[in-house]
Amino acid sequence: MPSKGVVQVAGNDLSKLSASLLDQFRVEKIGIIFQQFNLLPFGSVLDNILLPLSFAPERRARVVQPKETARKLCTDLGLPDNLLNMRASTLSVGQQQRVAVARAMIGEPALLVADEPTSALDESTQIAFLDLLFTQSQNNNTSLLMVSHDERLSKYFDRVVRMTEIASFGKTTL
Amino acid sequence: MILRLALGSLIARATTVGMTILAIALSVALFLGVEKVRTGAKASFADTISGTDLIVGARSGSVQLLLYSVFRIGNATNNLTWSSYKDVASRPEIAWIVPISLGDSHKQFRVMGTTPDFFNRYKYRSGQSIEFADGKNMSDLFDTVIGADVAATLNYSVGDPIVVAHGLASFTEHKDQPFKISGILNKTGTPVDRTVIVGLRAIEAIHVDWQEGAQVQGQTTPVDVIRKMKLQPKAVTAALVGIENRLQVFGLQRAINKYNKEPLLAILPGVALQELWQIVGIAEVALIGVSAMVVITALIGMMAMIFSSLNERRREMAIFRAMGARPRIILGMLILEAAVIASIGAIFGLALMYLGLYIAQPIIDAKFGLWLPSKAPTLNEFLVLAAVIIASIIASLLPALRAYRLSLADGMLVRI
Repeated sequence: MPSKGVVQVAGNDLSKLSASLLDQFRVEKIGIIFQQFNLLPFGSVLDNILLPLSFAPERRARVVQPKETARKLCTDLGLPDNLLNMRASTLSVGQQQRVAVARAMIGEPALLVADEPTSALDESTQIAFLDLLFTQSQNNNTSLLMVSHDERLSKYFDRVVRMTEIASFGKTTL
Repeated sequence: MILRLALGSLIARATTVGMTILAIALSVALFLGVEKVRTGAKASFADTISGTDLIVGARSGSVQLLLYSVFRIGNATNNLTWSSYKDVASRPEIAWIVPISLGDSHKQFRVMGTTPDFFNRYKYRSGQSIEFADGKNMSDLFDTVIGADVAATLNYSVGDPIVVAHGLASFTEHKDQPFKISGILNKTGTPVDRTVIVGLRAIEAIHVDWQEGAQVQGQTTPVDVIRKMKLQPKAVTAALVGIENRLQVFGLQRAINKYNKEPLLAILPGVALQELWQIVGIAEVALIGVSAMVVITALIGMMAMIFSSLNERRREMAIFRAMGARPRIILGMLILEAAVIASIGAIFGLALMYLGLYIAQPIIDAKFGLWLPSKAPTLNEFLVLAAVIIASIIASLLPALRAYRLSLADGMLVRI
């Protein structure tokens, strides 16, 4: 929680929400792509993609045909149809990453947060992956917030904030 | 879908989950099996004698009279004199009466003198008659019919001669009057299996040269002479009585108990069996207690399994949390998991018990004469299964609450 100022996402002041409302708010408004993807290894690709909808009624309402939407997201992300019913643990790293994106995007959350999603990729695939991410964000009218160590990616983004600009690091005295 | 994922998680841990299910299944099978044996033993115990309305003997205790007359355990302190027996037999209420005379033995088995009518009157397991496996009923004075266990233990067959010993565990034998086996009975699961049955007159015949429990020195009456004697018994040990009208049973019992020429006792076999079972029944409580402990142990094993899986599943739970699952849902998932494991275990246990019963049924019947019916599960058995599932849910609360707290603390950030 901020010590000064406010944190607002999609017009809501986060500091005013209780823990359980925050849970609810997060899953409704934010799709998260984790660095480690965090797929359920024993679940199928389809189950993994549809999982957030189980807990987010607003996002669920936006998806009329969940299976079809998931399939379309996969096609757009370049995942073949026959992967849908495979277990997530059997996929390659690149495929798992795309499943993680599809899972974050389903139900069109207002904000997409990506935590170093490209760190596991080589340079050419990094660019291709970012293209996918941008296209999908634009299609869904979603803002994309991405954390990265890679300075070279900064030119692709509308706004870049360096951690050094907003936080000061120094020795803490105990 | 959450259910499917929870199930997927279970399947992903198939080995440990499988072992836990096996442990629960085995414990449930054991518990149900013990319950089956217990009820079977109780029923079989109550089935030892049926169709007999009263047992009459010298006055002692009802359990004691039952023990020596039916179970051949212990000894009669007194006999029923022949004249009293005749008096009882001549009463109008009586449909049939079979005297039994105990006191001698053959090897480790008791010898019982009775009339050939015994084989028609003595019933067990709700009205089942004793049948001959081989040979036929006694026809000659020195014929004997032996129970299935006697034949099996001593390796006897029809036509073999046997010598009856005087008294129990005695060295003096009635060598002068050997018997010939005329028939061998089918296994009944009652004390009849362990009895050597001879004619009532034969009991008199082998004691012709005996007085006051000892053989008269130098006196041996030839068998031919014995055969011509009247051989009227002076007393019998007890008598099994069937009556015309069951309504008269209490009246007759009272009349016999008040018989004034000799102190007599008439008992209702069913009532005496109940009294006896109350004494034996302490063992059944112990048996149930032990098997209940086994079930509890298995449930604690399941609890330990869930506990130890929590660490490796913190990541899984964090993912659920990140996808918007409230900690409550994590709690519910773990409880559901326990319920599923216990239910599968319980159903497997039931199946296992029936499989075991199917295999062991003929063996137990042949070895112990205990027939365990393989009936459909009773309400009681379903209650046991339900209790196991409910107990598993309660046992799972501890690890589930821990998972709840862990997932609150971890939130969605776990890197393992």
